[in-house]
Amino acid sequence: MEPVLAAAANVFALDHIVFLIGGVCIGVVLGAIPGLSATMAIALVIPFTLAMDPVPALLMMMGAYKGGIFGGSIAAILIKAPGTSAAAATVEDGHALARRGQGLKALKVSLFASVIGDTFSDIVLILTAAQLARVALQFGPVEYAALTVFALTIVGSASGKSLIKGLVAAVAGLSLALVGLDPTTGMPRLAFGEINLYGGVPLLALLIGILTIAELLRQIEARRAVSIAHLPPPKQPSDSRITREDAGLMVRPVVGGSILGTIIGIIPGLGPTLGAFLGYDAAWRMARRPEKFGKGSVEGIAGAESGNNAVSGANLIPLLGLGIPGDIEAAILIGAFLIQGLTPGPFIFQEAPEVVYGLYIGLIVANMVLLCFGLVAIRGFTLLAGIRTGLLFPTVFVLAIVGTYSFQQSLYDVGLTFAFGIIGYLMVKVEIPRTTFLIGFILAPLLEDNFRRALQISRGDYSIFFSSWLGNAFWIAAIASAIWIGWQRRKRAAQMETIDRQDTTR
Amino acid sequence: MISFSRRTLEVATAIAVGTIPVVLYTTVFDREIPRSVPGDIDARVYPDALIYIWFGLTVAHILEALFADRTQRITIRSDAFAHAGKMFLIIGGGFLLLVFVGYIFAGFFYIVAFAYILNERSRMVWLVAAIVPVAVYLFLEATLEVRLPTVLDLWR
Repeated sequence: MEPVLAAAANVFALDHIVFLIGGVCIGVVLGAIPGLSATMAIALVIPFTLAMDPVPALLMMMGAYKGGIFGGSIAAILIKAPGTSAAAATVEDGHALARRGQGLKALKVSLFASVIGDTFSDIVLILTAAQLARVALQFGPVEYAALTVFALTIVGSASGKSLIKGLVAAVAGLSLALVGLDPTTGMPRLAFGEINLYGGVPLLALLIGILTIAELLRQIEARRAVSIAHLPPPKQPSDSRITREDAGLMVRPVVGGSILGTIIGIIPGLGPTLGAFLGYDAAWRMARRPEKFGKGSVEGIAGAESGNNAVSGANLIPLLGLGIPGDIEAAILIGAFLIQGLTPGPFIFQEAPEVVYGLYIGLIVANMVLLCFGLVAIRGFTLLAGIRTGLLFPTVFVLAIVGTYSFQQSLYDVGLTFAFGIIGYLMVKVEIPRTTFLIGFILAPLLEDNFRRALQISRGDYSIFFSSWLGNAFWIAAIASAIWIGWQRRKRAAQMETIDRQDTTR
Repeated sequence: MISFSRRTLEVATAIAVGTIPVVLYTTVFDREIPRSVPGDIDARVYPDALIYIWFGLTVAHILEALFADRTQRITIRSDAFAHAGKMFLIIGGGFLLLVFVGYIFAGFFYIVAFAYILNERSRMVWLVAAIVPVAVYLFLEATLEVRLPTVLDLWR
């Protein structure tokens, strides 16, 4: 009980709450702007948390994460341009309501559904992560190596348009992590005599380069303009609030979306976009007014938003229980943990329980902060979504440079960030998934360490990797998931082709 | 304007990405991977395993690119290259400013140059470019004790 009380005192310290609120605000602002995202919000916040203790630093990042995912729905509803891909399911119904003068109602539905879905998944996290960690403590190097390969396979298969490109990205990420010191000899490896690389490729430079700089270059290239001028004002008071009838309609989709989003979040690689679409689909299946879907359905928004936000808490279950990130945001959080000197995984519950409990309490508090901030600032969101990107993107670019420099106060890191930014931009152009590349890089030490330990135990005999039933189960799961996802992908492509042909015939 | 098939792009990508493990394996690994400690497993085992997997995936990538049904054509306007070139030049030029003249000038340059590319022509650009880098500099020095390099530091 003592660590819980200490963690609560830590979370509720005034300055820590201020950091949490700051994180939520930054997340909502960046998430609301088309082209920027929750991922970018966390990556940008990390450098400013370096001087903080772990708990406030993680609180700020979690606030940015949650705020960013909700923020994506603001642009989706107001300007029909989802701020994040996870908000794509909200676009049709949200914007249809906004065009009828019910934009505020749509935003409120989104806010409540987001907070409820998120809180549900946080509760599941609190109840299950420690149990999963207890199981993971029984894992040996073989099981861990197999589990890492399973996670990489599923992330590689699920992200991007091609299974093979996803796997290439994962292996490229693993290979980049070879740079640094050899873990057994302690001698420099692939550092090319460059002393700045002896500690490995700096994670923050890689994250900010591949995610933020590359994305900004893409957005600057697209030069898109947004407009919200055509939205009509509300005609009656009920257009701006959730009525009793709306609340009744929201119950079933929110419950369904929360459960589905949580399940999706636990499985590595699937991410909030799938959570949103499955939540939307579930809402349509159990809808009381299915005829309104696509034309401004409260049920549709509630299902999609609860599904997409429920992924965020559940993503932390494999992160805290196994040390495996569920998606890119969780991968960045792993980086943040590492920068703070903590290694996420089963041992964190023994080594830093006060941080884990602080995170648990902070997650729930962050949801409450998001709800309060959302309700207070909801009218201002209209301004956010219409912000001038011509001023904002260059400013974010400068903040990204500052963030990279702040970590080690090194211009070398800034140069690396630009190099990774250009690599990330090219990866987007040739459709090689950046997410998988980064997750490969982040999981590399876990894989290499366990791979070597297993071979040391067996004195170089590779059959050890198939000597445990749990390890074999992970190998089979890795192959089965790749085949299943590949098959689903092919099926979807065939369906799209049929639809295209029908459209052409018409 | 350049036009090519999707298949050509995919094959070129597969070859370009597949060249990396070939170069690493044939010319870099021998020099850059330290010898293992006696009694320990070979330090090359894990890097080699990754490279073999990468080789295999490259072959699969090329085969997929050659045999997948990708007849659609991709057309890139020549001004797209010019635009990308401009962005890279701005990044490079700004980095040189950062290294030789300091952060505040580089920040100013990045904001003005990228705003120009984004067709933002208002006076606000100059205001933001003048205020933001200085504000961030002061904020970092006051709160995180991070001192961004200025012209005074670099030429001291």
